[in-house]
Amino acid sequence: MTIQTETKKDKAGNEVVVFKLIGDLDAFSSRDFKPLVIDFAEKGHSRYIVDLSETPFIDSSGLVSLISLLKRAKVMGGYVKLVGLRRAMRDIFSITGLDKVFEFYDTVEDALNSV
Amino acid sequence: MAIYIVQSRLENLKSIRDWLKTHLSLLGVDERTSYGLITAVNEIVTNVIVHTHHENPAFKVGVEVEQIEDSVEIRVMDFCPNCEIELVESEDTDPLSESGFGLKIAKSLVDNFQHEKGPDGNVFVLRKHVSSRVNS
Repeated sequence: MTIQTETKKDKAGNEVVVFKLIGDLDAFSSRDFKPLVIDFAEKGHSRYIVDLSETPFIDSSGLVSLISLLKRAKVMGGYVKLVGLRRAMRDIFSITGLDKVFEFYDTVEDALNSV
Repeated sequence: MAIYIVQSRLENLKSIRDWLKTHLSLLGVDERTSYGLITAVNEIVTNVIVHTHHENPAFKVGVEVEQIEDSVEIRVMDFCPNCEIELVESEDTDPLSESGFGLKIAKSLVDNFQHEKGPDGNVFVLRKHVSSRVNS
């Protein structure tokens, strides 16, 4: 999996970290994502958008890495917004109840403008 | 019937998913059902690699797929007769609990889930009804 990271501003002018995950987010690849999450949180970031439009597959380990990001963001008063989730992947979010925890948007721009 | 056996390494999860996708397609399984089955098998294989084999590549993990009447049966094998299995399913209703998701997801995506202990090790049997039988 490749992880692209950039910083943007949301509608309120807050700095937002945008992670674009390219490839499957599973128990193997999430080991690359988790340290990145910790690194950004420790630098004080609290607002995140995770672009999953090029993530064909996500498993429970991938979900846990997203939950970890969300928890760190919430503690600091921030948020995590998920973008581009494929229809087939929605099932595991609903099975686990995470469809009621995360915010979902079609595009990064939609997520940035939602604040 | 088709079988795929690989070293017990998390790096091999993708190749297992790709192999299974190909074989479910050959059986005429629709895309959404296929994705669910692949997700369920991925969770069980991950559990075997991490909790049963402790990521020791000396072990092997196998996946077997077969169509039985109007269902697809997939068997995940750990080839470890002496291994004790650890199946942890979260009973926590908090979606942010961060544990026990795997088995919950796997069970939710199939019609029947069983664990069998045989002379060659543990076998997890996942069965799912499929709408049509293309290849008989």
